[in-house]
Amino acid sequence: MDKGYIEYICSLAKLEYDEENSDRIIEKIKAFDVYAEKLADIDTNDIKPLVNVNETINVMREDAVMPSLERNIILENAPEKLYGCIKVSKIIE
Amino acid sequence: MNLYDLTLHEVHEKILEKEISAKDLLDSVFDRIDKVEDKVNSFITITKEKAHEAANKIDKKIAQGETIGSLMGIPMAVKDNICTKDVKTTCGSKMLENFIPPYNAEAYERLENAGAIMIGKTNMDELGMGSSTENSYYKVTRNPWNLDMVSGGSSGGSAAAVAAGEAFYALGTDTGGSIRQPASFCGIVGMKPSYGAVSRYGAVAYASSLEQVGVLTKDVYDCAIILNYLYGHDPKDSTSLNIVHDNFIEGLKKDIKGLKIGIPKEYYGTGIDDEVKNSIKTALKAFESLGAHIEETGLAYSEYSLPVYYIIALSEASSNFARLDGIRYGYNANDYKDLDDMYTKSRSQGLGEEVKNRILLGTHSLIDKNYKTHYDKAIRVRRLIKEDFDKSFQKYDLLVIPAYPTAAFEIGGKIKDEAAMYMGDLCTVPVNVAGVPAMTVPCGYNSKGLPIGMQLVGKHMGEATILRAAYAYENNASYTKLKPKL
Amino acid sequence: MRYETVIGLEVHVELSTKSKAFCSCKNEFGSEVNTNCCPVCLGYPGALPVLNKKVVEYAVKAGLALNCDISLYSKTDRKNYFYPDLPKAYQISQDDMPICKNGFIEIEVDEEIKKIGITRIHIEEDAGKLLHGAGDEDYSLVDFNRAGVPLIEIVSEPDIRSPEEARLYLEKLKSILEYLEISDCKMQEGSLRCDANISLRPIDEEKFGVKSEIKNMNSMKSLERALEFEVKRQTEILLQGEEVAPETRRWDDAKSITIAMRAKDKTYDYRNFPEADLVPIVLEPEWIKEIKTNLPELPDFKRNRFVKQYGIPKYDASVLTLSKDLSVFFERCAKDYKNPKAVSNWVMGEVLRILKEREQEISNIKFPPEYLRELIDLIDEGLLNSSAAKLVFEEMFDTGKEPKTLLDKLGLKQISDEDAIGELVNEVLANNQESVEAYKNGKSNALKYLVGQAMKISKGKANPKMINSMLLERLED
Ligand SMILES: [Mg+2]
Ligand SMILES: [Zn+2]
Repeated sequence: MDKGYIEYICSLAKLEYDEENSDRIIEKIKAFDVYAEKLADIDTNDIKPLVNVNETINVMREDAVMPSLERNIILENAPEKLYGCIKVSKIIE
Repeated sequence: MNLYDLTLHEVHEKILEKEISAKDLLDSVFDRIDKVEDKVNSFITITKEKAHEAANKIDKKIAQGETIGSLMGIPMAVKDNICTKDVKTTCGSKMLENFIPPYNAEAYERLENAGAIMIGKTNMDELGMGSSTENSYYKVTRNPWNLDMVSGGSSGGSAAAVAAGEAFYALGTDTGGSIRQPASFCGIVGMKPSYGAVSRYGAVAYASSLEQVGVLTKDVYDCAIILNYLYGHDPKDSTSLNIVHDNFIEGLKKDIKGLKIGIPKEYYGTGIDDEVKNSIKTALKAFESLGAHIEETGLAYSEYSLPVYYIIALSEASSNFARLDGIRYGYNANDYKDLDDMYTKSRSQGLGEEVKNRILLGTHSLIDKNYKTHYDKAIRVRRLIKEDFDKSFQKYDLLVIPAYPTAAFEIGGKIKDEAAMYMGDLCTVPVNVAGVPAMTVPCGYNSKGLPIGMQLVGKHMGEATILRAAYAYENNASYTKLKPKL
Repeated sequence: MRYETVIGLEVHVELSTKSKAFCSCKNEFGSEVNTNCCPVCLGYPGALPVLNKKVVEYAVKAGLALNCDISLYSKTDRKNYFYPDLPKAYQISQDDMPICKNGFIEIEVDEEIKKIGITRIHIEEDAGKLLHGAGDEDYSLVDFNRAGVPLIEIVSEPDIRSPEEARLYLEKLKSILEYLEISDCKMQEGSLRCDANISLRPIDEEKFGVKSEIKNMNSMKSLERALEFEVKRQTEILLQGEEVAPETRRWDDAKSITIAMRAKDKTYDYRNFPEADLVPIVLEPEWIKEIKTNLPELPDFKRNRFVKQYGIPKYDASVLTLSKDLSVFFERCAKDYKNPKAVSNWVMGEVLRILKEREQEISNIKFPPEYLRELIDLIDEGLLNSSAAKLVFEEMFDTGKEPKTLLDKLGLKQISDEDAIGELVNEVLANNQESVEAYKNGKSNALKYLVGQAMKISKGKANPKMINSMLLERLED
């Protein structure tokens, strides 16, 4: 756990890496890990994961088309737009 | 007597009797808002014009003889993370300062269709992250009982608005206590429904597998009324259950003789304020006098609920809030050199400190090298916690625990007592981890005159039992009748 | 040192459902930009996905047709990364529990059947489309119509040993998917997209070499060419004693080279975890059985049937059945006809030739297959010779009109009248004394020349059989 690591997770989360603040974040993560460590007490090898407490299955819809949004509504919310599209920084591929 | 001091069902009676119109109610509420909103800061957005238009329509309908439903023409408020068509939905964040959803959240839409009049969007901790509503980009909501105190959070604006008479009820969301804790701080009733009971569609997701939309009301009867509208299957939410719910109002009238109430000892340890303990003790006596059996019990996995909760909540949050990238909507930093810079600047400038810290912790929990010990471990232990609750509910109809270890704390003054902080989380988050319903009911006041709340926790889809017990208690103790002096 | 090529393919297939995978927006190629979008597929806050039933059905169909085990329990996961075409900043996909596993495809290499393993098939959603200006604009544009379109990703085992095998695998896969009618499979439009992992290793070595991932191959031909280029490139690197860099490369069709896009040294951490907004997919064995029973006839089966039923060579049957549309076309022509091989020759010859020449699909042919059959009948009846028939065919292709009508219109009716043929023969014999002499001196080739001359004079309309026999008759006199 070092500053390089903080920089790495910042880059994954697309958040600015702040060198000055990184020690505080390191402390937070360390404390969080201590907390998480508690769970190691419990043997979960035979325990299945539980994501949805209701364990619902097979919720699906029929393949039917419904009206989409008006394009001007989509564009109204977009900070940058052009030619009916949403504009972003040039992407070099 | 002021109209705004009445409950939802009381003003409904008056509308039904044609004593008052929707406009009268709205005027009363807006007068109240004019008087107290500056002190309390419940709202981010007030939709006065829209509300008047809606009230006009309702009054016309009533004049034309349309059947008057329980919500018709009655002003209410909506937490600002619940999407409202054509009305700004900011989530308390700079990131969404100008976001206008082109759709309604299902929960709100059901109320609107029933004639509810929305008067505004309430303040909240940014994106639901916080428990005092101090962490809003816009303002700090104050506790109507004492303006130096917090209103609780993250649905603090909703709780304060209802307690202050600015709305007859309000929608909130509860990921780890965000309805129940502010309801407790503001001396009102707050309900976190069973997971899957109320549609999450249009409620801005923080932790998808933990949260529910719920309601904050002036009393238990009002809560039952709203739940009748909110509950029920929504095909737009895959986690919404397709089952028929009880009529919650009919269930209220039955007595609670023979009701078995468990008191899990883990929730009454060090950190819980003596005044809180005593209030609940008195409440339990009241339950006994009404014919309920009280018994001490235990929830062995409780201490694990906290790491499980935080790992799951923050992991899901790190993914759910990744969409806030300033491209399709929201805040966009305009001085950037390339795509990556645009992402990073927009998110860093648009999101607050607490949110960013939590996103980093969530990211940390999901990366390959931590997945097994963090997220994967947490969702396995989650099963044990849920089973722990299930077992308990084979024996008891309800569990009673404090809504929070203390009454409302001071604005700017974090809780210093670590045990109290720990217990603060413990009181509310296990309920979300297990997905069971829980309601906060006011059960007294501390020496400073601040409300104290207790939680009635029921088994999954056991809301009717919670409501019945809470209603019996409320009629016995009547704390909900008291109003803050503003 | 000699090297063996190791290739594995990852194929993304857009499913041709009516609506998108998790919302009810239209799934349609070529709509006006950003008109098939809603809060769900735009990743608006609070919007939630609901799985399209058809997507599961189509994925299971593909799995069964590709000999996979169908998972009775599978789930969806989130794959997290930021990109402007990915609205939620995560792709709903399937990580550790794909809907289908352990399948295979059979291809024919050097007249031998070879099995290429399929590791898995999983369901996921497509991203939007980035539009880049041609010039020096400092921006890109995003169209979200494609965001949320259902995909299946089909991952092969690294069983493929040459660029040709890779093409054969992809052709067969495409063919099967077309038969299932679950995708348009248009590589040009991107409804079938293929990425290839390719590495070399010394022959007899078990360990895989360092691979590169090749993207942007928009046709069967470019797949094969790109891989051929890679084999050459990597061989040269290895022969120089150097190491292949692990990287993602892009095929440039115009330049016919692959170009490095980015290094692959650090694998990106996608933070896959279960999608809590959706619920697991649990399939009933009965339902899977029902789908299996109702699967259409697949290309291999049809090929064998064609060989048996029509007595055409296996090669013909393979070509005719690779495309579902072509096989249907052939069968409608050949039905109850005495000489299916003649039909096969026509379809594999003229039909494919003109389609290629005009850059058209079999599904767009204007005339019904029965017209081709009528055309062949006309030849049989001696009303058309083969060169005239080709002219009629072209006209039929362009106009969609009946061959009989065209025959009259073009004045191509074959001359089978004995007197007219006799006159023609006389004319040819009189004007080609040298050839006549040559023939009489034993040069049998001279006869062919004379027939050709007669055909030329008749502008191809004369019945060549009659000319031939009449010429022989006169020359032998
Ligand atoms: Mg993929
Ligand atoms: Zn959509």
